[in-house]
Amino acid sequence: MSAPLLAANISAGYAGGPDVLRDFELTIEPGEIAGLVGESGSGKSTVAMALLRLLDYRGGRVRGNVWFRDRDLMALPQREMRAIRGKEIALVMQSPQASLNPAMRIGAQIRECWRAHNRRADECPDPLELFAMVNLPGEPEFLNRYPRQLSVGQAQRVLIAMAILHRPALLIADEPSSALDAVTAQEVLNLLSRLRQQLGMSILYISHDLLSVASFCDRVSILREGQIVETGAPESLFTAPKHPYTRRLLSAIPQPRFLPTMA
Amino acid sequence: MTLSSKIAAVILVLILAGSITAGFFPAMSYARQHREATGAPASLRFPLGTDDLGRDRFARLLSATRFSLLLAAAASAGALVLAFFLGGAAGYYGGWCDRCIVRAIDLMLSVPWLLLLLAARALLPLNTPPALTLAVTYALLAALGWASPARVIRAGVQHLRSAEFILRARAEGCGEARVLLRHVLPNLKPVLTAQFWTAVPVFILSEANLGFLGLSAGEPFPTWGSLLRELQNPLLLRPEAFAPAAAIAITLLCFRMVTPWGGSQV
Repeated sequence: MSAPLLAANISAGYAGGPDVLRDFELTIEPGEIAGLVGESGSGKSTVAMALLRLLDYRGGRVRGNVWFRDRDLMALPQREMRAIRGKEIALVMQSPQASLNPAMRIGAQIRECWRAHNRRADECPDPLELFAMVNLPGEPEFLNRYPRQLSVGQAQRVLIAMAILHRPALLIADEPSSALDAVTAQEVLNLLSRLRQQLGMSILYISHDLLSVASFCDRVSILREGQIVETGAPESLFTAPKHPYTRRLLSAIPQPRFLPTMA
Repeated sequence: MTLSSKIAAVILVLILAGSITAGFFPAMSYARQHREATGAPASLRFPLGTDDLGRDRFARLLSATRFSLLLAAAASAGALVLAFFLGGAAGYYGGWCDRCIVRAIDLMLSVPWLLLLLAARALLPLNTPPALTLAVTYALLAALGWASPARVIRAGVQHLRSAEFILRARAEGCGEARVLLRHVLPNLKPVLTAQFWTAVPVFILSEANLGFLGLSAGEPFPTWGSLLRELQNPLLLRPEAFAPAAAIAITLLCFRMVTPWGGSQV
């Protein structure tokens, strides 16, 4: 068996408070879609920020190790960590409109994303080709729009386009569909699944929605109060949940009266 | 933009354009003396009369308008640069850097800065070249006027620092300089613009105060403030001597009307 792409064992918290993540352990295999499910406040977004060492900017702290391609990210100097962010590990955040710079046109944001790791702006891939990959309009006029002129779904696709610009080995998607309607959310999941196949990248998909995670991920971890309580294939979690909290999550899935029960 | 704002903007443009254009006509020189007509009343040749040295008051008023408006704008820009670096650093880095700069801002705002200006300006030797006195006066205004905009900029940067798109820029791999220049600064543009337009009238009035007390530009440079000094001489108190005061009042009123916040922050 090959070495995992990422193996983390961390504890993390915010200034003046107890740890939000306690001995949190996670491994992600190359090319795998790993799911992380937990209720609000369980520390899901903290995981995303801690893995990229972004927690400092939110007044947080992280201890432990994050092994990624034989390097411990926690021990890297800031300069080397910056070279990894976006280029090798990309992040898609949960608020699409708020995650785009309101003062910058979409085309400029794509170029800016490129310039973060490349000196030459003229070598930036054609944004319209990138947009075609994420089902965004192919008209050059779209590049001149500001974020406020996009729908939430379009903004989320722009964020995904920016995240795959450097062909990262790992994409962390922090509740990318939480702000979207059911149809658009499913389209985004299909898109991520297709991009994984096209680009061969791994995805850490973080969500509170167990159903969407199970339909999309190869392996699912259940997060409760900052700790992983159970990990397994979606089928085994649904058919034979071991931990009481997993059973609680399964029983909380809304079920229309006219459908057979799921758990 | 309302009709009154548009009219105010047109008046401001006319005042500025007229004062700049006048600088290209040798006949409109602010230093030229008409010794045959010292202290002359208003006439067709001299619409505002002449001063006690025989200089055309209208030509001097136009030049003063040019100096006062352009230098107040330059001082405002200078103050804003200082405010951006200091307020921006306080808001962006937080911690001890923020605490030190906030204390400095509080100190600057609690000092009676007109008195400070008077003291600093009065320290200049009497033989200082006139152009230097002009530059020093406005440099002092910029050096003392940064505190108020710095506080607003600090608040703006603090808000931006915790914005999602800034965190995404960092997750993209942007360094500190790139985050500041490409993501923070463009989003501060409305704040900087508002602070600029707020500071210009404040600096015009401050210079007028200094000039009235004889502590602005040295002779022969005319500024609105230095022209107001004539009002101290009761022998020269003719209606046309109030023209600089009228120019200041009209310009400040136009500034208040043309800015979207109506000058309420001035």
